[in-house]
Amino acid sequence: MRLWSRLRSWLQAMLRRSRMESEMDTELHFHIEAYAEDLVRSGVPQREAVRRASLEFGGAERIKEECREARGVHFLEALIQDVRYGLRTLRKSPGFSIVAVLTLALGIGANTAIFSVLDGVLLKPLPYPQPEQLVSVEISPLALNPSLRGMAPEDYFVFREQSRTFQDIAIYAETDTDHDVNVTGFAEPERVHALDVTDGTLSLLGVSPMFGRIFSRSDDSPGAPPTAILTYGYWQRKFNADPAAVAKMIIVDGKAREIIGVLPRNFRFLDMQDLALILPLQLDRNETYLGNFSYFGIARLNAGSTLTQASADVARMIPIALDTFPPSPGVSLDLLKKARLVPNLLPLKQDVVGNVGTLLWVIMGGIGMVLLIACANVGNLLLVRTEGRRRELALRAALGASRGRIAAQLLCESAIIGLLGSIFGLGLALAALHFLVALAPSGLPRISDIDVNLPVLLFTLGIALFTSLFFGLIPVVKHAGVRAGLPEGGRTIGLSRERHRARNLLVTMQVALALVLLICSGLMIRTFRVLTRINPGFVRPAEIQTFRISIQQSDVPDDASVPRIEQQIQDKLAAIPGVSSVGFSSAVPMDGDNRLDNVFAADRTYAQGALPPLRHLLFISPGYLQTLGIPLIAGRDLSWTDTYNKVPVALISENFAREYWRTPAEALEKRIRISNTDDWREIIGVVGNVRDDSMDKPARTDVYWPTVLAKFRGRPLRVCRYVTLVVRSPLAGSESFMHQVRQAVWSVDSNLPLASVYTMNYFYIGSMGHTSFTLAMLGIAGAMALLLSTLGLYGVIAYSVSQRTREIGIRMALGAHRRDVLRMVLREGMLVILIGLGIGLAGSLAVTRFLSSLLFGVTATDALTFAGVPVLLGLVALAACYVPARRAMRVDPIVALRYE
Amino acid sequence: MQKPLDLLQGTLDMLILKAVSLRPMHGYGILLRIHQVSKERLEIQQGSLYPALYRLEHQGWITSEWGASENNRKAKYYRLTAAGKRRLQAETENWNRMAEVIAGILSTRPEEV
Repeated sequence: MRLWSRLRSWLQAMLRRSRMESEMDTELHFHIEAYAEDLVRSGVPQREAVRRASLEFGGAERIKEECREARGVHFLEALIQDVRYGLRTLRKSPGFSIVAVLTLALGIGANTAIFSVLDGVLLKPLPYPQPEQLVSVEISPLALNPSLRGMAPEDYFVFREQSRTFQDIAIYAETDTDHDVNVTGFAEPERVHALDVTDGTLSLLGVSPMFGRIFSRSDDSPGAPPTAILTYGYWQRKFNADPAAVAKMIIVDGKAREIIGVLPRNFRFLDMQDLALILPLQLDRNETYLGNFSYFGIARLNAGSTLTQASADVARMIPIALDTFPPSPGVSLDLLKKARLVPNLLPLKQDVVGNVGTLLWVIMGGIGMVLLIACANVGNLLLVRTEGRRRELALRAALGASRGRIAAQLLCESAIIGLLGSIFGLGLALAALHFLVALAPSGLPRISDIDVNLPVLLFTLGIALFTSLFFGLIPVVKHAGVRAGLPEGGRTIGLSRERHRARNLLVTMQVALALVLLICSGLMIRTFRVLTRINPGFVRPAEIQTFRISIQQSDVPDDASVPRIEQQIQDKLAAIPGVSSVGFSSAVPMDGDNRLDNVFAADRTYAQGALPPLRHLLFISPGYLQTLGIPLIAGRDLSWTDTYNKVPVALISENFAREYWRTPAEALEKRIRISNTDDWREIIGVVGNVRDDSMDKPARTDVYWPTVLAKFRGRPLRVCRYVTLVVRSPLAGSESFMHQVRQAVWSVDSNLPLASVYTMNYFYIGSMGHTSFTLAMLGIAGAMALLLSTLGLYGVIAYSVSQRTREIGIRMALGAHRRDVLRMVLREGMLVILIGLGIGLAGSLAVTRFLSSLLFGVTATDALTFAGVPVLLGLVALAACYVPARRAMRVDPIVALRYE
Repeated sequence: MQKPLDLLQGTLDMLILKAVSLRPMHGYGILLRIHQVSKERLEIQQGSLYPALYRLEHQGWITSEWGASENNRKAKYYRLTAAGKRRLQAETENWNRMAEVIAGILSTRPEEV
């Protein structure tokens, strides 16, 4: 209805306009004719009378224009007129229009695409009601390692009961691979991601189920009948979207659970991908012992409570929790107090997004610069074009167009280019987003929240207007004030230096911006090279196939059988043709494993209550080190005899050996353990350091234990039921190879699903994901900047040469050498380039420090980059000037002068 | 013959209002009337009449309607509105006061200062 009434008023305006125009014509004509008749009556001949009448009347068009203005011409009408005129002039010069629109489309498209990523990841609130009330609640051991975070059941119980700032608090177990579950009872065994939660987890996020219900406090109580909730995706896939799935049973890790609900389609738990099942934790208050920090907490703050207040509240409750529950066996209360547990609360969004903020803002900044360069290019094109239209503008001014009217007209043309560019840019952005999301580092959070939505569209509209104004105002400022007098026609007037200034300024800006971008890309390239040259500690990761298996208690109840099954699988895999080596381990480098513990050495004394440093613990099979190519530096590798006989042995990394015992050889036969109730274990070997956290972080100190251990951390027997297998073969990563691998595994246990199938390269590349993503993005931005500014420079020099053809002709006719002409043109280009490079260098020095958190092994003011890139850019820019300069050199004086 | 006077800024509006206050007139008629009454001592550029007419109409002091001219042609006739009448009155008083003051100043002899 509103649309219709608007349309009608618009139509009326249009109709009125044409009626008013014709009435105005009639009226003015009547006047002229009446006057002419009076003249005739007074004796003037007919033809002379008509001539005099219209002459004395004055310029009809100008009078009409004044009449329109006097009437207060409708803004809309003027606009429509301008748009129509603008479209017509653009259609008349398709070459210019296409280049301008495409240049802008590139700039705007790239910006829109990156902004949608930025918006989806950083700006958009989390998709829960009142997301600002949600916080992550963790506790960190300040004295041990402040970067560790976690929640223990005792904290959950105490916070839930005694908090003054939380509406509700919940804890959940992170679904790392150990929390994957085997789902059986269907045709094929399956390993899926599951989340263990306390009952408040879903309700405090404000989710309501699509079918059934979510967990109640009684579902989460110990001894309650086992239940499960399905995610939408798993319900679709496994139950064909059958609503009757609710109340059915599902067998999870050998335990039958009743399905009580299905979550809605748009629900996502924080940033977890592929979540299939949600299970209640059913923590038992009476079985709670202190110090099991293997959970994460989320809470909803009371309305009006702040994060600071909540932190203080948690700080108050931590000692209460320590006093309320008994410590677990092998852990002394004193130790926990010495660890200095402190609250570590963050807004939930910040917790989910993590540290990608800098990276995305840096990329956004880079792409923004590309847009400025593109604008400068279009601005230059417009300037040249407006230059060619000086006569037209002067004519319009002479016919009575006011200064404002001409400015509006010019701006309108720019806005049309801007809008067209935005529309194409939006299309480009949609296409680029798929590419971006595919290219994004595997750790990029909230990737599924990325789309083109209203804020993104508003952003695009905003930059369209900004860019139109940016390049549209340049010709307006220069030309809207054109004198009403017509310039004498015919002869091409040599352009004064002043008129070149605007174009040279734009090109200088382009060169400067391009240099900043190229220096940033250069720094990223250097970082990437440093990273790829670092020895990760293992060799040829692309040849190593990895996958995880989990041998369930329900399938193999006897712990002692587990290592035999694992060895059998290892042997079957080793028999595959082409496989050179096989092993398995609790974790592989860079897979995110973070099992840290305090390791005591027998020959060290520790002050009462003091804790030795944390080491990274791995449990490995014989052959694991060899398969990865981790070198043995001293001593011997682990054997199956050690493993089966539970010989108390261990291997350590070189950096650990040097830290405690100076040399790897001296570390041999020293003894270590992680708890004072364990046996001491003898170091039998020292192996090379592995950057198992991330390529840009120093190698951690590692301790490698056998997979079968007696009396370890207070347990009589410990076996590894969840392991990652590593298989070295040139065929790793191929589907046919994985087929053979599956057959080998299933020939041992046909009920064993394979999970997390990746080559080692996946983890290796993934750990450099932030660097390579930033590099790729800045590289693209740098390449676009280089291309656009080279084109811009070329265009300006070429135009200047074409305008100066006559001058050059005269110079040559007067005896100037071709070389002099070449030098003259190049000098003009050089000046622009050098000033641009100077400004660019200063700008880079100011800007690159924002990059420093993304750099590794190079400083933000890396001399090589700061020296090399300007030289390269200068050379490319000079080449762009050389082409038109050569053309100038070839000018034939006769021809040049004949043109006049 | 005396050289025609250029019109003072803003006085054209007043003259138009006065011209159409007697009876409805078309643009050409207004021009003729001003010429005639001023005994051709005022110079008005013919075309400049129309923007002024459109402005006055836009401001609501005159209205227009189409009618037939003396020789039966279609012409647009302007007529004073009630608001225009008040305006004319105010402007006239204003002008007279102003003219009196200016004339007083200009006729002052040196010894009177």
